[in-house]
Amino acid sequence: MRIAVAAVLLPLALGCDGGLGPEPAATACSAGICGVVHFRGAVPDSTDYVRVVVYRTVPDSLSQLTAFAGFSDPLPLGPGSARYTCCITPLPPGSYAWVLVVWKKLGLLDVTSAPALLRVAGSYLEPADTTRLGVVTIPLGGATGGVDMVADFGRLQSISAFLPPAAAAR
Amino acid sequence: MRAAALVSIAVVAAATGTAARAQRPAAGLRRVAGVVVSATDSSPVAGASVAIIGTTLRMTTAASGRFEFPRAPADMLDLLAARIGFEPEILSLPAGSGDDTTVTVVLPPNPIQVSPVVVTASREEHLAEESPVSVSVATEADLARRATIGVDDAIARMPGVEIQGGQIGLRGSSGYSRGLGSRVLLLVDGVPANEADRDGIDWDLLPVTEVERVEVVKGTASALYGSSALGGVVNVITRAIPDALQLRARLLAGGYADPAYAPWRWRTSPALFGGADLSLSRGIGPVRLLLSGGGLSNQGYRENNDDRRVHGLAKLVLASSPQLQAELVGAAADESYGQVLLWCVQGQCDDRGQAYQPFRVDSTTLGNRTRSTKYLVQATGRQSLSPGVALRGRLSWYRTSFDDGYRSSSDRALSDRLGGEVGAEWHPREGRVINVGSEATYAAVSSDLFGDHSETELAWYAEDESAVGASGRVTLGVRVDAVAVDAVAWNAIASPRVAATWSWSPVRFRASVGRGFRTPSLAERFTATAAQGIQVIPNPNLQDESSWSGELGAAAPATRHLVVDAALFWSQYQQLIEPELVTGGTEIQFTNVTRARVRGLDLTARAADLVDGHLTASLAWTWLDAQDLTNDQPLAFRPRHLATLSADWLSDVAGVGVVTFGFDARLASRPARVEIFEGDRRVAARTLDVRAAWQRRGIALVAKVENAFNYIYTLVPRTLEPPRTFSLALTFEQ
Repeated sequence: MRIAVAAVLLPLALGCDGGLGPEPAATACSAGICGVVHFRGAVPDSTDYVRVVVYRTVPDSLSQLTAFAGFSDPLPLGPGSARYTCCITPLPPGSYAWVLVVWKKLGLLDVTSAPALLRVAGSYLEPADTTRLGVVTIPLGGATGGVDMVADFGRLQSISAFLPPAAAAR
Repeated sequence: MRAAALVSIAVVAAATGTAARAQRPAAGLRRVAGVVVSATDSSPVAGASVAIIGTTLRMTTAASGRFEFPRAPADMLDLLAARIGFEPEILSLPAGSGDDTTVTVVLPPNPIQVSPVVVTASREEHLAEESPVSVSVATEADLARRATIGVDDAIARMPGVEIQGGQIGLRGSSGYSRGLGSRVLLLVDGVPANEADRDGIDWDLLPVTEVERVEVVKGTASALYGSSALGGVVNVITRAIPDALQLRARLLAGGYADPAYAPWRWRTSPALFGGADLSLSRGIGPVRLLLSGGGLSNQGYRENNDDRRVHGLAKLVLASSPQLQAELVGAAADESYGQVLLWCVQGQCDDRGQAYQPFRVDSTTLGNRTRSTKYLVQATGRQSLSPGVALRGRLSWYRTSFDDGYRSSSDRALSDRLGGEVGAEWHPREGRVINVGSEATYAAVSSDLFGDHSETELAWYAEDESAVGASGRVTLGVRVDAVAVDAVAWNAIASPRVAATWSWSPVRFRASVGRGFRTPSLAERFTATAAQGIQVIPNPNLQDESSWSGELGAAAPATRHLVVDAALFWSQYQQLIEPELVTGGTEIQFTNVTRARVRGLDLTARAADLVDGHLTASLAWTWLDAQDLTNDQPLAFRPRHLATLSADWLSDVAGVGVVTFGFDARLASRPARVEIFEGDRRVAARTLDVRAAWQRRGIALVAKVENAFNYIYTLVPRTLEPPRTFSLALTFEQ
């Protein structure tokens, strides 16, 4: 009988520890910017990739469209949110005038093809005034979190639309 | 060994032949026939191994329990009868030239007797207690009790066995090498069946419902089986075919529990699996045929983890007499499954704010699938020329192919392994047996991953086993292998072995020392691909791995209900093959880098017939010290402790049937080191499986909960092991 009791108790003791458990993702990074991208709408069939890209200033000419200050790895195109924490590193300290989610159509990207291949799926907006682009500032030796954006594949905009009218016409 | 007083026998020696006999035996010979029955109720014992000791004559009893040796020696002889669940018996028959000797062998039940006869340890049937190396056996009853999906599930809970990512390691011989190269050899009914390209093992090749038992030899067996047997051998023995028409069917259904933690839940409906197997067999005269087929559909417990497979098996046995036995086996399996390489980490999927999502994969790999097919055909034959000499031979062909489909590319491979063997068994005198033979193997692969290559292997082996004194046996053996890759540069390897067993009543000791080797797989030599941004480059100059291994073991009945087995084992490895970062860390290449030492202790205790015959239990513990001597660090993927506790409570309820409740609890300690993602949190593997079964009149129902505590763990980094799994298996046999 003692054997039977031990045989029952031992496996019960083995199961007391639940093993691996959830670990919240890092909400800040040591350098660069981080945040959460929320997807909306269906991803177009012609998608090559979707990335978060960063400009020091809003481009004022077509030639500056591909002059990114930094960009993330391609974002996973699943439903819900996609976190890009620390993906845009290293980014030097300073201000960044435009942080956006860019959708790229299949095709070779260069200066001339950029207006046709790149679409803006969403931008980081000023929290106090969501009609304006938000400026992200990375402090010296630090990072900036909470740069959250909505990427709406149903309302993709040509990146040229964000250029000054004269630049877009050139 | 077994007191004659315990044996209830009836020996009837008739001086003349009977009318039933077709012909008189030649001079110096006689006919020995009889029946094996149970001491409990005198019912016939089917499937019992019957052999005339010291000769090549052996056979299996029919459903009627009967056996017959038409050309047995006329001298005084010893007849052995053994069957799982019974005490093996040796019956001495007096000399009688030209006689017709009829015997009844009565086997006393012994529930602790797991498998009295094994074949893998020395290529021929052998009393398990006289095996000079450690052999574990998963019996038909074990397989039925656990109602497993695959053969690997059936042996994963054996002492000293660790299966990680589908790769088997025996006593720490292997870790995890992404499916390339196996230090364990798979045999199907004694015939080698490792893949020709990767040298790996396809566990889904055979339907588990058609497996009679699995023998696992733990320790180097290259002296008998050559390359790949560096760490041991798994011999899957298919079901014997009864005389009468038999129909067997199994229906299996189940599902996976949700993870215990809400942030990891990702399904809206539970993941289910289900399958069916059907087999039909019939024996007509000397010909016996088995046909089996089945399939399984599994939604998988992880994202992109669905699996659909079908399989079939055909077996034709020709047993015209105990002197001639031939067997043809054909098996085929086709599987299509979603690839799950690594789980999703932050940012790779909808991580829901988590650092990792173990049930999900990188979204960019969704839809990646593999199609895998296998075909096996093998023919074996054994002819006993005289009571002292038997010849055996085999031919086999094993074809595998896979096609990995990715979003914008694919990898594929087609490989063939052709094998042949001729051998002889010679009993020059009582107590001595000599086995000699020669093998030839040709492996070829055509792949965009591995290229187009071939490997030819020729081998010669000899083993001499002799009785020493009243209770000892000594085995001396050597095998020489010659291997050429792409038909150039033959490389010869000799693998000697010395082994002994002896009794110091009631303890049976065993000891062995031998050399082992493994030829690198064609995949290890020639893989050229890009994985996770890193280029894998070939290494055609890869050398053989080799080892010296030893074991010292003892088995003893502690009480009438308890048997204890202990084994100390030790291996010194040279030139172990590992994937290494080369050219400044930008490329990976398989290289001979490691000297290693693996040593440890196996302890097993089995108890049966406890608590008025209701309870059987077993406890096994393996302690492992696996050290990489080149880099002075632990070998990766080797848990220091492996422990298994199993118990079953059986009750025969009048009017209801046989009811069983049981469990398997298993612990594998956290490996001291892994090779990738070393910074990830790792935990010990602790699982509890519980089961309940009901059996009556050929119908059996097994309900099972595996990983009952829904314990979340990995064996291979970022690869989740199954959560709590429910299943129900209904088996019908008529």
